[in-house]
Amino acid sequence: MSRAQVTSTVEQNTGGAVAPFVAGKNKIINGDFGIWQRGTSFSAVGNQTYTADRWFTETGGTANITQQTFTPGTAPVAGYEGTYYLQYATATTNATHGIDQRIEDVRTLAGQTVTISAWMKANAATTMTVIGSQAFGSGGSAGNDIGSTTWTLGTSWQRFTWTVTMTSVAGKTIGAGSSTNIRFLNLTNAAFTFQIWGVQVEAGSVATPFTTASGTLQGELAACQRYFQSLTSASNVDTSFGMGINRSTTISDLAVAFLVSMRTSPTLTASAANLFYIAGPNVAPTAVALNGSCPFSATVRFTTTVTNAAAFQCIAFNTLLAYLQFSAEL
Amino acid sequence: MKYTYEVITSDFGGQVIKRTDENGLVAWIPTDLTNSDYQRYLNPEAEQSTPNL
Repeated sequence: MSRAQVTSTVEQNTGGAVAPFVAGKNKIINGDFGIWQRGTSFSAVGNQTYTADRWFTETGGTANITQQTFTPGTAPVAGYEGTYYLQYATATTNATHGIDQRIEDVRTLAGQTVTISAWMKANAATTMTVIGSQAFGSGGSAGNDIGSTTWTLGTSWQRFTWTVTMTSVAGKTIGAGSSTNIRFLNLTNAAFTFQIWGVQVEAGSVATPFTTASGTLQGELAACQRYFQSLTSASNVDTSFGMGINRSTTISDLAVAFLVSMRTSPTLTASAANLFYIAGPNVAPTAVALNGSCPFSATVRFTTTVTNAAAFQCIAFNTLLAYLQFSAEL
Repeated sequence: MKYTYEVITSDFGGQVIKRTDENGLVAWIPTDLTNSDYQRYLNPEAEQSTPNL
């Protein structure tokens, strides 16, 4: 048994004598809200909108989601300097509001005793219903809720925990894109603002000290990039998006190699085409599209007017915010 | 969110789906059965990931 396993076991048995910062115990990715590839402020966003990496809204209305920064020394865990937390403010009432994370593969923690924990607070006392559910993917068995609990939030940071036994997947049909889902929902239909940090989902009946899924900032970013990658130009320098080939007088294909392999062939969203520049023939494209993608690469097609079939470099000038975003979320 | 879809065939014979939402935001979806956006294109009534309350 490794030292990590020993300390984790001691922690489980004693309820907190040592701090097992063990990579891999937390099945939530970006549980410390340290990664925000899509931006840091989202106004009046609707249902199923991704904000902080891996976290998306679940609402019948709209909400304002923002990254908030801990004043140094004020994170809720002594000895663990959290940097950011997520704030969720309702923009419309008379609707369910909250955030979810889909943990890849419904087999994750299936049939096991699981403890869900999070630090939360609110601008005024309110309630938060936590729901665990299983989704069996495309063509799979019907999804099911495995249970729920309700936490009463105050105006100071407090760690809440819930231990539940996840339903076995025996006898189920599991299709592509299955997931174990953790949902934090306010069902009051009233206006509220809440803050959340340090979300952890782990095997066992005790909430052990929080750590991120990977244990490192680099590892957490890479874990997020399995599901989403944003290639965004820098604000103060010219940015290279890579090399490509002018395949005809109207087509310039950019080859993109992903930073880490993605869960599946990703969907592309891009900024306006004229924010990019095709250096070599030195033209601005008039359209951008996906020509094809797979888990490790994509071909991004620009519509251009060029006079030769030479290679080109795709760049964005320092004053223009150009981006290519690839999503392989569940 | 309501979407409109258009099937685009590349010069290599492959296909991608051009999805436009009601705000005009365009996304390009590969025809990969494990891509959740493609799954929703094929079966827009199904919510394969999160059961309802």
